[in-house]
Amino acid sequence: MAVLDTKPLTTYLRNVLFSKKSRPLPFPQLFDHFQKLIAENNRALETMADMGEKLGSEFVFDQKYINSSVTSITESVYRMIYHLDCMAPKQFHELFSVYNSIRSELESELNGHMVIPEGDFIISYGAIDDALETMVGGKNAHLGIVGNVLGLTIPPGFVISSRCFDILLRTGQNQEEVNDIIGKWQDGTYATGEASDRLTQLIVSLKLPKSIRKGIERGVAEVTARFSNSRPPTFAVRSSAIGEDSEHSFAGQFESLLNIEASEIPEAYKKVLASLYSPRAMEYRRTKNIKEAEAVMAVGCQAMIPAEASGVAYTLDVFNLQQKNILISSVFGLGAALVGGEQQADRFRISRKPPYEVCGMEIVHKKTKVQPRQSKGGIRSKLLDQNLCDRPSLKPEQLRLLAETAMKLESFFKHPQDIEFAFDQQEQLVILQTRALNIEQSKPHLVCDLSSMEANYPILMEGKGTIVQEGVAMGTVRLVKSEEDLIDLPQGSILVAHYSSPNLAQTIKRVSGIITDIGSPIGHLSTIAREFRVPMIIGTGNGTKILQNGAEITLDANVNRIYGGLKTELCYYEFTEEPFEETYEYRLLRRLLKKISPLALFDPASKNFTPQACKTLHDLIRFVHEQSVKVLIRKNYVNDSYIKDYARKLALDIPLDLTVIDFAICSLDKKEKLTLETIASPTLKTFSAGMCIPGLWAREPVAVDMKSFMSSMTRTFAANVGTPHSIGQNLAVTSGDYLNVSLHLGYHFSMIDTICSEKDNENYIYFRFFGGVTDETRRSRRAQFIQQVLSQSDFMTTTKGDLVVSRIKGAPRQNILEKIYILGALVSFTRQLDVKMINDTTIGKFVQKFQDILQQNKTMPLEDLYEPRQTC
Amino acid sequence: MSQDRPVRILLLDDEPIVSKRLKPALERKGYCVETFTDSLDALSHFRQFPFEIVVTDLKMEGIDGMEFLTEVKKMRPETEVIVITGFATMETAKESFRQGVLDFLAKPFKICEMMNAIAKAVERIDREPQ
Repeated sequence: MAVLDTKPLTTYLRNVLFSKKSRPLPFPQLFDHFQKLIAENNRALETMADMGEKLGSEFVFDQKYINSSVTSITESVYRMIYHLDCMAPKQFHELFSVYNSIRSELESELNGHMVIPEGDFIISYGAIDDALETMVGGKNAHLGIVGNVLGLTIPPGFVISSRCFDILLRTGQNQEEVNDIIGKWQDGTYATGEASDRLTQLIVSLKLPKSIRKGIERGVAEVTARFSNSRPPTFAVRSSAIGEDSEHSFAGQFESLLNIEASEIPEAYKKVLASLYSPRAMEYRRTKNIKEAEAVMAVGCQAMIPAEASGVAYTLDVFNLQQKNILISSVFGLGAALVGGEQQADRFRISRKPPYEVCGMEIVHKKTKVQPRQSKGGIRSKLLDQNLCDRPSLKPEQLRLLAETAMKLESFFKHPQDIEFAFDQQEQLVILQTRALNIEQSKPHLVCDLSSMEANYPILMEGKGTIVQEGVAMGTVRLVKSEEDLIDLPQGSILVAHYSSPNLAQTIKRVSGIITDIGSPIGHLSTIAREFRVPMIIGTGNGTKILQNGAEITLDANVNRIYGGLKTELCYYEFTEEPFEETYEYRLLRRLLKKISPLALFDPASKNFTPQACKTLHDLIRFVHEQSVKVLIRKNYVNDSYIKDYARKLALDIPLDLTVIDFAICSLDKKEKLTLETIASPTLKTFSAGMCIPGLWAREPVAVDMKSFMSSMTRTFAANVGTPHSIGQNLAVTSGDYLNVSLHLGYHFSMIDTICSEKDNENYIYFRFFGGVTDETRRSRRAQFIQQVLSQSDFMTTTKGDLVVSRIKGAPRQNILEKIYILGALVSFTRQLDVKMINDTTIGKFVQKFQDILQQNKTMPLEDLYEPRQTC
Repeated sequence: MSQDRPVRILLLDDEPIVSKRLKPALERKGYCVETFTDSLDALSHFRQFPFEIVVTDLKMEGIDGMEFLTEVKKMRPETEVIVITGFATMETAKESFRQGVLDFLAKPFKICEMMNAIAKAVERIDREPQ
């Protein structure tokens, strides 16, 4: 039995007691906080991953789940900050206010209040995605997706965001006045008309702050630059209200102004803004019980398209459902009078299937066309050229292009669409607006007894593989065996391939569904399919054998079934259901996750690695974790003699700079070098032995190709862009049965947290791995490699992108040690593996290679580790 | 399914999203589905039109799921009950099994898990003598 050497402790206590500086925490307490912090860190990351997974279409969750998950993760993050604050008192106090502001935003969202994020006043259409909906409004968000995700032509333009609305009407004196008028309207002092007049008056007489005016000028300049060879554009200034279901309920209630000169935009903006308080809109909100606080507006400013012809397309002819056609109405010139129902229009009925045949047309006698006024702005009606009066306003090839585009929009938004379009002077199709077509009246005709239809369509495959993206797709099978098969891929095909290779992603805008024999739900193609909402099933095993090239099939990726033939009834049935992505709960979870998951803080060496730079809970988690490790390593290692005696560099056969702090050791011979043989902690010894297995640690420098390098520079999830040195130290902290190892190797992060004791119930291993220098595809291949290796070793493993989380719980000590040995080997082997993972076949190859090396080195003398050791 | 008419399923959850997502998936399989968000409504409906399968949440306003399923079993013991709940504790699970519940799913769950539970229930219904 060793005698406890109290000298270091006495020195430590003396330092503590007689130090003039603020008193550092006794080390055991410090370490206790660290351990608790790590536990919360793991819990928070797990909750975050769990919430992210629920966005996948297979899960059913409710608001209670969302509430409890948000509570759980916010509490964990709070506790992390609390423990860090205990470890380093007052050093990171700003974290509390950053945390509070993120938390209060999350809570507002949960309580159904609209949180207008702090953001730009002006947002270019080119920068819009669906995440910006609360900034730009539903209509603008849709249009942004049409342009930026689907790559269709939309008018150049910008949005005056809801942030401007917020600044103008929700702050200072204006807010008081608005609230006063609304209060008096609500208590009956003012009639609706009077309240509306007063609010309109208030808004049109507002003086826009310089920042907003400058923003508008910049927006105009950006659009004008695209018209360098012609006359400067005029603008359509359109409302885009924000809030759930705003598309349907407010349709046509707000103002849209056409042909506005750039200099008149600020005035037009105010007019459109004021239409939020038109008597009709106010009454509507009152009857629908929509809170005034939820009435928020963004305004889109689109360059006017000098349209040769314009109109409206319904992807499903709701007036004649039996025919199942696309219905197009069009006129020469601008479509304003058509939309308003003031002008007679040509009508075309087009088949919903390629090659989109014209099934019928009614050409009316058109006397006039609407045009922008040459001066003063606005629009006017002009007599139409005699020769054109009885001609169809659209040509056959324009009709086909329009039909094809309309069906693309329908299949993306998973609902029949009501589309406003124009053909410009170059005959280019421009989408002005798209929204869900109101099919409420038609629902009874669309619904049928699906089970009775079952007999008409043979089931070709059922329940095989994994659903990546829900939905129904109908089309012709295109078997893809080589790159050449991708050329001339017909629009609307269902792509069937052996591997879910990233190459196939180039076809995503043309295919209506994807089926593969082999694949991973976290692979690149899966990610893209989800983004484009293309129904996809992977891992069917033999889809390429069963499905014949050229055959017409229906892929029902809601229930994982593939039918022979085109089961149109199923497709129409789908329309009557609200897509998962449109449900309130889905959107709420998505909005919350935007404030939780994105990680912007990645490089601890950067100047921006500060509490103030934390925008999401993930940023906070990352920051706090990094700082806690630093507190342990730096502060105490350098200044604290107690710790100094316990922190040692571990010298191994591999060039790994690992600092070890072992609290279980009572005394330390300073001269004794810490080597594999002299490590006291059996867990750390096992882990290190695993790392040192010959043949695992790649010694040759790995050439990072240009593509990988560039991708690492441009990646947004750049948790790993810095050099390995800038990212921090490698640290192993151990105390008896507990071991925590944080490693930053070759651009990836891994963390092992484990208890390995005689009590099976207390034992666990938690392993987390993410990052890499290469593109997302290669990193996720490495993640798949890790998943396969660990799944074979009985770990419960989940992956999300390049994040792998694996755990084992409640296993006997011997078992835990065996797994720790494998983890050591794995960390060593995967150090630069992503660079080598050039295609999907490498995954299996490396799994085999790793298992072979492990097999040859099975003889790790684990029993040596059972020697009784000295403990304090 | 051996019956000529489709199996009738009652879905009860106070959060409409659960029924909204399950109903179409079950209808596609050929089941006849009715959904409720209020347990008293569901109970009075069940009294008039019995269902072969009931899927219910446990924690709800009004009478809670446990009472509801107890009533259901009293009225029609052969009805198969599947419980879904967000607050699954061993105690509630045990209690519901004592009441003759066939299966127990914790929210959030996968649609395919529910499909398997329903398939199990249908199998039992088919086995029972009519």
